[in-house]
Amino acid sequence: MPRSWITTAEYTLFILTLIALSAFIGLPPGDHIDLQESHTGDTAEKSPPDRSWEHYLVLPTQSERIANYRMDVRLDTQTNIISGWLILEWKNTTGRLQRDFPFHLYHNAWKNNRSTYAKESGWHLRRSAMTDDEYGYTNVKSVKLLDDVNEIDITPSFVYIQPDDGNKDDQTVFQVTTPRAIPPGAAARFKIDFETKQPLPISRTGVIRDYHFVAQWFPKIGVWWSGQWNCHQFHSNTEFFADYGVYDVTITLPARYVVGATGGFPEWERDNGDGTKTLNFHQADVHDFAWLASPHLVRTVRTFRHVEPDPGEPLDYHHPLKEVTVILLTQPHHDNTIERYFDATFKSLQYYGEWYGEYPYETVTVVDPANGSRSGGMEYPTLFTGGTTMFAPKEQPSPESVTVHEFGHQFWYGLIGNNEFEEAWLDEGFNSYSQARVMERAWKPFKIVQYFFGGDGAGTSVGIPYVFRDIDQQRYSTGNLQVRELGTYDVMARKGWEYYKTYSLNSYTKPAMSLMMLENYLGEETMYRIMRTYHHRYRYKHPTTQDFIRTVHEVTGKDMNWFFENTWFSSGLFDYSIDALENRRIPPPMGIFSHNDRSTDASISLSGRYESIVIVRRIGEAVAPVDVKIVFENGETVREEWDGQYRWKKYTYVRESPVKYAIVDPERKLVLDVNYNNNSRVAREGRFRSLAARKIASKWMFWVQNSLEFGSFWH
Amino acid sequence: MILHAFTSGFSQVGRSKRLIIFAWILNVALSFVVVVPLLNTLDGYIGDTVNEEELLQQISANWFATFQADHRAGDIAANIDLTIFGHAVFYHHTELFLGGAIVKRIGHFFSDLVFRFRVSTEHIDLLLMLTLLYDLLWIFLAGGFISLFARNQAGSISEFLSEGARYVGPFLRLSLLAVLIFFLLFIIVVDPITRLISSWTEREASELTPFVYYMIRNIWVALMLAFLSMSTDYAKIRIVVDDRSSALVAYGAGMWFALRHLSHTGGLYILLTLIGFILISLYAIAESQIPQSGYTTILLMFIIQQIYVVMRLCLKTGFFATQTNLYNAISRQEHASLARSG
Ligand SMILES: [Zn+2]
Repeated sequence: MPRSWITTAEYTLFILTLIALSAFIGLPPGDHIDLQESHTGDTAEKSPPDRSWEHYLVLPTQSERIANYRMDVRLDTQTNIISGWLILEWKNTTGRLQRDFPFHLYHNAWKNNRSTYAKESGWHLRRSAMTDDEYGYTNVKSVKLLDDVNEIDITPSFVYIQPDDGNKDDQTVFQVTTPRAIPPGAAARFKIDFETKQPLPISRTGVIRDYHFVAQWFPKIGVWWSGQWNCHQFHSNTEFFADYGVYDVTITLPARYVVGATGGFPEWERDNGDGTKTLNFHQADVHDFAWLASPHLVRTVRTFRHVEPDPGEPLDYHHPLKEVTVILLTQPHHDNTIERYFDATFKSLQYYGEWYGEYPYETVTVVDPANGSRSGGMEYPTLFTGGTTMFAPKEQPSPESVTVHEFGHQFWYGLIGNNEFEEAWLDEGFNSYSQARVMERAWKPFKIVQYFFGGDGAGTSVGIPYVFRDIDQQRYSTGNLQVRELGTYDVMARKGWEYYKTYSLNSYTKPAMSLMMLENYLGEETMYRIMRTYHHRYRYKHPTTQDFIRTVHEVTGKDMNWFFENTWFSSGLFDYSIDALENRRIPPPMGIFSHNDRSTDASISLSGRYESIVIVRRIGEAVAPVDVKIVFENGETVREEWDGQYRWKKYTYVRESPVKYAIVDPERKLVLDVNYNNNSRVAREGRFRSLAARKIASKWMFWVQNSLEFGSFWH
Repeated sequence: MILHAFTSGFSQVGRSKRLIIFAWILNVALSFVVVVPLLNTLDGYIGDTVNEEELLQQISANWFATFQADHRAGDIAANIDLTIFGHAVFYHHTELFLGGAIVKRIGHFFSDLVFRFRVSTEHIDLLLMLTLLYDLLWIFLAGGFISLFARNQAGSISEFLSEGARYVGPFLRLSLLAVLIFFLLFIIVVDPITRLISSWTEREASELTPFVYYMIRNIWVALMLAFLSMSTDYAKIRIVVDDRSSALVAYGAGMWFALRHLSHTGGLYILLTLIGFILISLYAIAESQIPQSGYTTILLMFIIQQIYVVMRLCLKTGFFATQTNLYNAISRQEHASLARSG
């Protein structure tokens, strides 16, 4: 081959490649639209909202104290057995005679692989292999009814019952019967001797190494609710429900153990001189008692003081809050997380307190859980667990996110004691909504983080974090996609163990997103009033979904049933779209416009103007009113309100200028919309070549080019 | 000796600019097979929505997830993930590399074919096919480059191609051997160790323990892979310089050579790897400084990306050139000392 040919061929190839590349990316900038609206007329100072209603809201100072427990137990760290007794004083506020008393024995969920918990998890306890020693249980040795002088042994009446599924192997609920009925207004006192064996951590409780997390660990009476006993078996997904009361718990354990418990600091502490110590904890107006013990916990104590916001600061509510002592218990290798835990807890105390009502207790204990303990991310009265890794970069909301969430449960679960079995969204959903608001208010957006070069270990996963600095974490960034994928499986408002695939979606994501949607429709101020009113009214009580809906109606004075019917009581999806956007130039009149030689052309002025048609479509089954924003080429903006009822709606405009773009739900009020990509349409000339597409495709190209290189590097 | 091999090697690379551009064109052409369809998909997906403007400002996690959810299985668009952004691509590919992802997929495909008489398509997709094609092309190019560098003369493209063709046979056998060795290494050694780390450390108190184990594993695997790929390089060099034809013998000889002169061969390899890291760091810095929200900056970033790829190809041929020079220098020295003692 002659040399010159080859040179020519080379240059041709090179030039062809450059041409191909420039066809790919070398475009002149397309005609881009400016999404920033000029907010003229909107700059007028808003007058501060009327907050006089706040004065009519009064927080209750204490609960009804129906179920009051005094306990004395001893933890044997060799056998992992907690043994002792409790005396329950139960007030009969049911208005009728009571003889049968159901109790929870949650630990029996981990007694074997036939419990309802195990059955619902697929006949196992979510662990690969367990020795007999690693199962857990609570064994009730005796039950006595106490009156002023006598102890009546009612142990013979002890019977396991299975109110939910009739599974005879399930021993998570038992019932005892008293020889004489307890009259209304009177109190029954039960003395129960029991022994609880801690399992290997299964579901948020158990023992690993020398870290004992002790929750759902004692016989606990059910709740008389809506005219009957409410005492569900322990299911694989559901949480808890109990009456408020006073807890007085005495714990004996090896002296070298650091202890955290509901109630914060011990009332008194005694060294027994035999290598053990005894501590007494006391907490009123709570509905559960949890504690933990490990020799390796690092305790740091700080005081939360309410920060009065600057007068100019918007939307903070200027409610003074009392001081709270924050007790932080961290793992020894997590010193670098201490500041972050405190920061998140303080911010939560501030925002939850200002928004919903003051945190009433003296202390809150924050636990950084041990690896592998499966106790992370869980709430108990005045005590909660977070969880993070020592490798979390500051751009990742760890432990902030979990700390805010679990602290938030002090309000939605702790102070508002809804039935978590039957209406989990009232705690998880309300709390996820509040959590997202705190995260947005208290921090700059966090970034998406992915871990590389590691794997599983130490009960977690480890690796080197990579921070996507250009990609913000959005609240529920994939929430509407979860709704899209699973939303049609279940109506949101169902009992926790009766969902097909959607416990998590319908307890957390969907209710949280629907509350955001409600806020968007009603406005931030009205939503603040609803939530604050609801919280004040039902603190230390067991409100239901209907109680919340009533509060919404009362505060807004509007019929909001459409909202709840299309969200909480529906499995329908929201999906609104701009289906079509057409601009037509109206031609000059042609044809005959006369009658008996008299001109009939009434619309001569239309010539040369544009007829623009925008069609908005409801693709989903769920219905909500939506705004439509139409922007014309000359900058003119029209806003339409569509009731969203029928399947589609057509808007026609005749203007000097054609429509540039149209957006349905431009402010994204409808956060449950399962597809935002179809919410807008832009009239672009010819075949539009997207610059954003080139931005993404060029990144993909680089990714592929590197992939080719990595794939050919090894030989 | 390392520095000499390094400088003379890279001056040879400098003299082969046209060939490197040729290699770059191949890389671009192959990537276009999957990039153009994605670009069309994106054009259609973004085209007439206002997302165009929003995405230019900032990539929205929700938009990206929606895009992924709308494109599942079988679609090129289903292959893209967040690691295309920033410089995560290096983390992602290095991780796949250290986990033997490609080798294992090829290995599983062949073992299914040979032992189960089954063509398993789950291990191969368009991207892998492209990678294999690219590998084959480089088996061909490697011969051309090494022979060019070994003879140390500016050859024409036709010479380059005919030299490449001459060594395709032994190089292909060498590559198959390398794949087999890598595959066995991952299946028999690396994967079981990874599983062991996870079970050993399951009940550890601190996440630092598994982290340290994983990092030790990564470094160890990286060293093993570096040594094996160095051995393959010297095997190729021996095939060209000493005109051997048995891949197996050459592989053993390459390994023996690399091992016998480890301070030299290893030193050179580390030097070259360092340059690779510097390249990556420079890219990462540039990427983080350029906002990419308008036409000019997107174009600029694209050009930087292509410059990076060209540099990377220079480095890749630099491996061949410097190692060939080092091999020649060492064998000359050995001959000389042999002659002196004899
Ligand atoms: Zn929660």
